Amino acid sequence: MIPTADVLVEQCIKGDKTAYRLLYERYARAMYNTALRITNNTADAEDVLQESFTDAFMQISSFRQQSTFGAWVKQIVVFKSISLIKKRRLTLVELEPENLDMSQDEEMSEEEIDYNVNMIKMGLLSLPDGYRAVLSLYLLEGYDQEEIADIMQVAPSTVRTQYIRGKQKLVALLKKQKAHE
Amino acid sequence: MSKKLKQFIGENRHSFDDAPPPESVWDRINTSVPALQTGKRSPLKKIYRWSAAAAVFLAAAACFYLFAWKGNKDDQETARRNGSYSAKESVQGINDPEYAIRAGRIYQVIEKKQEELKTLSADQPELYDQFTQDLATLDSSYRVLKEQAKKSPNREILIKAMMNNLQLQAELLSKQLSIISEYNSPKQEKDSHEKDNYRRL
Repeated sequence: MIPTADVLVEQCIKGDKTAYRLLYERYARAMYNTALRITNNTADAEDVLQESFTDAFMQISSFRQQSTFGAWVKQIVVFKSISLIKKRRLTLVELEPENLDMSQDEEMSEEEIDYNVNMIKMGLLSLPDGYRAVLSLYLLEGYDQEEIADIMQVAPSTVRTQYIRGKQKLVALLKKQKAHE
Repeated sequence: MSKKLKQFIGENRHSFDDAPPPESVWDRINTSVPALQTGKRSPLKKIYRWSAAAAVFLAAAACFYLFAWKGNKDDQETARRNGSYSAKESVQGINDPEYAIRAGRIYQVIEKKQEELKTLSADQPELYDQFTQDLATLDSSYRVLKEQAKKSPNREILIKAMMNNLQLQAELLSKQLSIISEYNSPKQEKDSHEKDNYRRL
């Protein structure tokens, strides 16, 4: 029987070194890809992965299981990734409020786009840091607008702006890629 | 926000996590997490190990004290009369400037740690009493050594033993502080176990 993450956490607290390795193996890939999507740099993603697991393991006895171990580590990974791109002087461009209404998102014609995973991945990676971070957190990591605002320490309206602009760029890129095929 | 793109990603979420992390990341974690390093034990095991060490210190100190007590009742009486010690008083009386400086320094550390211990263990009077008793055992053998050093021709050896005793006191306090700070950490069930473990000394 495969032990649950909660059981592995308990075993880590008791000093079982194998449990640490099993926890790492269970979550490392997802965490690495999350960091890679936000930082867009393998060396940075490796640093984030290493620091996040190191922090989590060193504080494992204080992990209260209010959330799952995976969600806890992911939070650390996301915070570290965001602060890393912030250090790269991430600038979140505020748009004029009149450009921000919901209809803009709906007006973007996606009908003719036949999405595929690789195209989306490539498209995301070609976006500027701010757009890529917001789009990744919303579309892939499952955070909502308020949570993203909290993580990135910006106003929710800024998140919305970044999302709309980022998505416009992404859709345009996908269309362009499609046209080249 | 867009449903179609989000929906597509949601349905294919797993395919987005396709990059495997390099093995070197685990190696780095393995060397930076103390609990994973070879020879390092878990905090609980560390406490057990220290408890064993403290038991040996105390047993040795107690044996020495008894031996010295038999050998020199007057010294023991003097030590008892002195009651609770202060740094200044404990360093005085031995005419050796080098000793006075070194012992003075250690005593400063000891006093500081005692203050810290008192503050940290405010909520644990039982544990604090146990800690002070252990320290008092070491300190009384220090006093016996000191009285002997005043008279004995083997003064150098005795001063060395006194310095060792002071070092032990400082070490014991450090360990007590680390126990109390772990005890004050939120993991209550583990802590009660540690407390029992210390009591067994």
